[in-house]
Amino acid sequence: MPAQTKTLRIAAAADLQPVLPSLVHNFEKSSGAKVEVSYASSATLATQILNGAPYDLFLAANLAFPQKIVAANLADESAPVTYAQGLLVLWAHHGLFHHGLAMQSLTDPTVHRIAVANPIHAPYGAAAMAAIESLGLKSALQPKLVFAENIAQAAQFGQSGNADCALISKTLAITKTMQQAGRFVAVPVSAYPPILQGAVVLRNASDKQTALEFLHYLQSPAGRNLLTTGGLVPPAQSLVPPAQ
Amino acid sequence: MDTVALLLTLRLALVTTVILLLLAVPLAYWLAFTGSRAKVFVQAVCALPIVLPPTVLGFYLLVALGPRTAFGRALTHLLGHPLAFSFAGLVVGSVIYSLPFAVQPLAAGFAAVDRSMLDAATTLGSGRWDRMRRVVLPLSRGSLLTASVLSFAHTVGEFGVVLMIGGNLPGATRTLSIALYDQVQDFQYAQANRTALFLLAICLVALMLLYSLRPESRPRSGDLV
Amino acid sequence: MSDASISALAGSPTSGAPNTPWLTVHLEHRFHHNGAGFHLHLAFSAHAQRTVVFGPSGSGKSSLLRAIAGLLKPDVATIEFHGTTVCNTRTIGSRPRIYIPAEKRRVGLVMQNPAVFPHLTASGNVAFALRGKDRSAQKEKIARLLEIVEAESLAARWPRELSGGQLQRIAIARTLAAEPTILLLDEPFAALDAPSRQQISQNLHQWARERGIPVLTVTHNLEEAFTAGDEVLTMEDGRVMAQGTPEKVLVMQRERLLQMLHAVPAPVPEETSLSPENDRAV
Repeated sequence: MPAQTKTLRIAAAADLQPVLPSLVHNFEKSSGAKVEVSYASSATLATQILNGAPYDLFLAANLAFPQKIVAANLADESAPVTYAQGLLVLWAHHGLFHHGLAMQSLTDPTVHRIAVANPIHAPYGAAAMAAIESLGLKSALQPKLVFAENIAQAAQFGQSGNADCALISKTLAITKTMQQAGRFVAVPVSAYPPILQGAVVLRNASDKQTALEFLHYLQSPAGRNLLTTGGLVPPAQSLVPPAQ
Repeated sequence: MDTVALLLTLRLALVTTVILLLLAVPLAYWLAFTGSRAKVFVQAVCALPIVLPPTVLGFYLLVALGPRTAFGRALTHLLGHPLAFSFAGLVVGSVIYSLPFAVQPLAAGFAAVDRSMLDAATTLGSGRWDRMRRVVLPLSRGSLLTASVLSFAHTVGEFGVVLMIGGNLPGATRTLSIALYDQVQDFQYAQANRTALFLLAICLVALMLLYSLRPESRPRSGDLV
Repeated sequence: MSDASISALAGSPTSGAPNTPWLTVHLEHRFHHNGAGFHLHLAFSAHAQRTVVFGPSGSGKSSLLRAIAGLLKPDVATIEFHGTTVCNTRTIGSRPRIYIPAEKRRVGLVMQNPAVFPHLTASGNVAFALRGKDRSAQKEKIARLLEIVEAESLAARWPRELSGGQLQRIAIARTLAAEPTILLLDEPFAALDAPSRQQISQNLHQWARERGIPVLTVTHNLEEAFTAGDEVLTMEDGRVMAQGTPEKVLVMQRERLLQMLHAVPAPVPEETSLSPENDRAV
């Protein structure tokens, strides 16, 4: 095979923005491929792919959006592969509460605005709404909610002070910027359906081989390590078929 | 048809247009008649929103006017709530975003008023504001119409700024263009199509109104950009 | 040709002329719109009820009127109406510079370009300077003024329907309505035919005389210049050449006037002066 720089184009959900760069960097070093990543809400990316966007690999924040790709006959496999599980956290400004931080804290009158990702576009947004409902907080919190385009924007609303609290991914909450501006606590996992983040290799990918290699890398010990430190939970066992 | 979003959009466009005319008329008057050296700078600033990405504007409104800055805090205190996620915030954003569409036609129209008319009015005892009111404005009715229609239509189409600072709140910040975006994201293509056609129709009607009432000239943006 | 000095003809016997000048002008101004530039430099006093300024195109007559009216801000000037200073560019001792803005000078100026407001009817135009809310009294006043310019039937018409001559009549009536303290006319009858010109001119001067309003007329029409005024000034290249009764000036400037008569094939109507940004001072 002639030596050529392969470019892997990845469509990645917004919650992967803090996590993926180090994974990509290592992968580039070991494989020699070039990787380009586009971040947006899972819905935005799905729409783009359904309308012909030239990605090779889709890393979503749930299974439903990749399933849409499969249903439209644009995926290489017959089902998405779960590459990680996401965690929802409640983030609040420093100095907002002196006592412990919990979901109940959101009902406090000092909380005026709670930023949540749009539940239609973003799986974390859907999870946040589910958590709010299951904890019986919907009527109390509804008037305080503001909807961001994706969780990155939700985090931004919080960080800029326009929102007092935000329900975002753990991956974003542990970034330096967010840690400097506030603190967070995990939302009880029982309160929302598990955020299973699914991936599909795209049928029209220019280089399916490299795409599979990347997926494989995510499941390698090195990859799983980086996912964990990044705030995600790697799946119990590798579900990706070994590269040919 | 999302009537809440539609009414909100029309309300936003109307409020923005009215405020914009109140601001733009004196500003355009100054631009048309001043000999000041600051004119070039002011012209450029007024034209800036045409070339600036709306997201930049949205960003500055969010951050520079947010509670983390002293200015933002003062503004919050004044309004009773932060600028973001509010109708008021959208109005501020829209006024800035559509400013050139009001100022430029007005300034061009004012400057086109025959100087001999102004001279005549002056010798008849008419001072600056009287001239503005009784000679310049009546003779610039066409430009006022252009400025109004363009500001209105431009605000109806606003998306980037609203996306940045709106917070997607139904009845307050979820405009028709945002609703359209949501519908697309939700794969509701039939609904999205209806919304899109509606937005298109509003803009088309606005422009047709303008052309029919001003057949002798296209909406001029002045000599800038 | 030598410049005439200010004191050339002070106190010459003219009909009904007061001894104190109603207008004193000392003016210096450079126009920079040409490569060469044009220089206005003149000084004179007007005493007579009817004064005429005569000169060829480009002599600076219109600019002189604009400066008197306050539409042109001169580099150096002293201008007085009836002894009151309206413009003085020099500070003398503790007395500051004086510049009364045009809208406050109560100067009636009828320009070559009638500049009738297109968004008002003829009577709307005439009423422009009228204050006060008494509608019927206003209507009465407008009718009387339109009579002077023989345009009573035009009251309800729109400017776009009117001819050049009709517009000029409206412009004159409009200026009179403002009750000016002095009246400046810049070729006001150019678009009118000879009989109308004569009649309206007569009406106008009578109106002015009844109210003690002095009139200064600018013209390049030789016949008009020497029959319509009690005092004549001639201008050329931005300077006053001669001043005096028509007879005196005719004699003094005889050679020059003959030259002008022969040089110009026929009286050419002057271009409409549009704005001070013209290259030439008209």
